Amino acid sequence: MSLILAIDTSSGTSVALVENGQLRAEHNVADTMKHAELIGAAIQDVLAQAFVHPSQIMGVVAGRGPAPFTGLRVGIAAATMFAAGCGIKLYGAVSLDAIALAALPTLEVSKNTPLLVTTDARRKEVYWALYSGIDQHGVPIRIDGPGVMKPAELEEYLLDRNVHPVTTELPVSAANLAFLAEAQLRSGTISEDVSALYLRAADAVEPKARIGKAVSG
Amino acid sequence: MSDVKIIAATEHHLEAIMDLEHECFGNDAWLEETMRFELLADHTRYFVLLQNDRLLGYAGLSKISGSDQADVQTIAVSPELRGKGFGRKLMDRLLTEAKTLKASEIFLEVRADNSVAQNLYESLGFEHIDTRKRYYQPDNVDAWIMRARLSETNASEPIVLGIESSCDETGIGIVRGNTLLANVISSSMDLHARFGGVVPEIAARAHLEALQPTLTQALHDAKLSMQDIDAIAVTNGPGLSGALMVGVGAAKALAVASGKPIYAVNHLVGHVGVDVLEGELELPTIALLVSGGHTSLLLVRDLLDDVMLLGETIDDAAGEAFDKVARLLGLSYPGGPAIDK
Ligand SMILES: [Zn+2]
Repeated sequence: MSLILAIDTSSGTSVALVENGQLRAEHNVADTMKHAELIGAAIQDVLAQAFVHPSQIMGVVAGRGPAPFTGLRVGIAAATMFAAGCGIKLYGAVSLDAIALAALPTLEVSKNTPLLVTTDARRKEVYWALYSGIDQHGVPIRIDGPGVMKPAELEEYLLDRNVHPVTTELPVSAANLAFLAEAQLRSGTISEDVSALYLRAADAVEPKARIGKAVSG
Repeated sequence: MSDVKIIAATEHHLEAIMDLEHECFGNDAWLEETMRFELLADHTRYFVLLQNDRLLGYAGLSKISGSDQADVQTIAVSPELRGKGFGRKLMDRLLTEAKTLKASEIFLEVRADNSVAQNLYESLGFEHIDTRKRYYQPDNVDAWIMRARLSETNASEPIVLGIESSCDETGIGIVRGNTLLANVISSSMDLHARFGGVVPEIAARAHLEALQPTLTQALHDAKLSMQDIDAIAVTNGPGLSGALMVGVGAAKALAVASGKPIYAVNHLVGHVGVDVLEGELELPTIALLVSGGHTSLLLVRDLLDDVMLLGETIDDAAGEAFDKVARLLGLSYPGGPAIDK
């Protein structure tokens, strides 16, 4: 294994470069509105910090979310084109899994007391997923999700299943996304799917109106 | 090597060419009709190598007028005379001809397992730029695409790759100077049809999915790789913000990855720029843009740094007005063509 560039814009703009379990450089901006403005400089910055030329990178991993629409795409588009520009491997990973990877080592979890990872989905909803532990390669074991629900619905959903989870406040970071990709490469579960996880249909209403109003009937 | 000469091929050479063609290519030999067409076509140049009037080899290239790329169509040398430099003589003739025809680069295909030919082409300035998997059947052998640049003057014109994602079409174009090398467009129009207009979120989702295949196709059409690109341009507005963000993020990462400079372009100026490819643009000029997303009047004094927006429609562009009328009448999307009918 060697250098992996990770890009995640499911929340802020986060870019990291890792090599064999070591963080070489990272660039994190919490602002959730400026992804397109920041992404180029963020990638450039991690390369410069680590004195790495793009041709030395083995693969790029994109955070697939879930996330509310607009910003998420910027990171996936950037990862896709970075890989195309260098002619290197492109991978995708679930951003919630990266949070779980960071949180799980310090927690006691089991099937009935799993780790619940949630992120803001806006519109008073949350994205969520449940994890029962970490496998021998270091990959979080996701047992449910990712999904999107109102907090009250999610609470009811978990109670119905007699699940009493522990939670984490950790934010997503590209560094953890890269460590996740390394673990998935070790276990052979890495995916080349970089499709965005929206988990909601696009807002669009099919027109019903035809000319004129109904005047009778 | 007495009395060896290379002259332009005529129909008179066809029979001898076909004999050699069968000898050299066996089952892959062209039909006589194909060869006749090739010899006589306007866009091709064929040469024969003669020794004491005996035909020992032939070669041909094609160059479409208006394009600056030439292709080696075929080359053959009588088997008993290989390794004596006849192949090189024929190739030299083709390269000279390609330069005369003002081609700036020339391409050829060669079997991946034919290292003798590859070495010859490399010594003539060709480089291996791409591979077509299992191109030669039934042998299941890959083809190498090789390219040689012909003229420094043409090659020194910058090659720019542009990315446009302001509305419902993902466009990637490649130009060398004012010559269009590739223009690939992936449209999400069909996805919007049932909503009677462009839905921004659907357009943005489609851009993300179209990016990589559109880039691959554009580079393929231009017969270039990212290393050949000198600069990247991207639409930074006006347009749908979610859609623009995908193109801008993509272009920035592509620029960092390939180490190329990036330029942001107002796409209204891009509309006017189309005329530069079509012919000479006389400046100053006033441009009227009538498209789906905007209806505007521009005063163009200089395409690069002096374009003024004189005015535009206050609410809807012409295209949007057509779409709305079509929706009210229950016609299909896009509205313009439906209303015309
Ligand atoms: Zn336009």
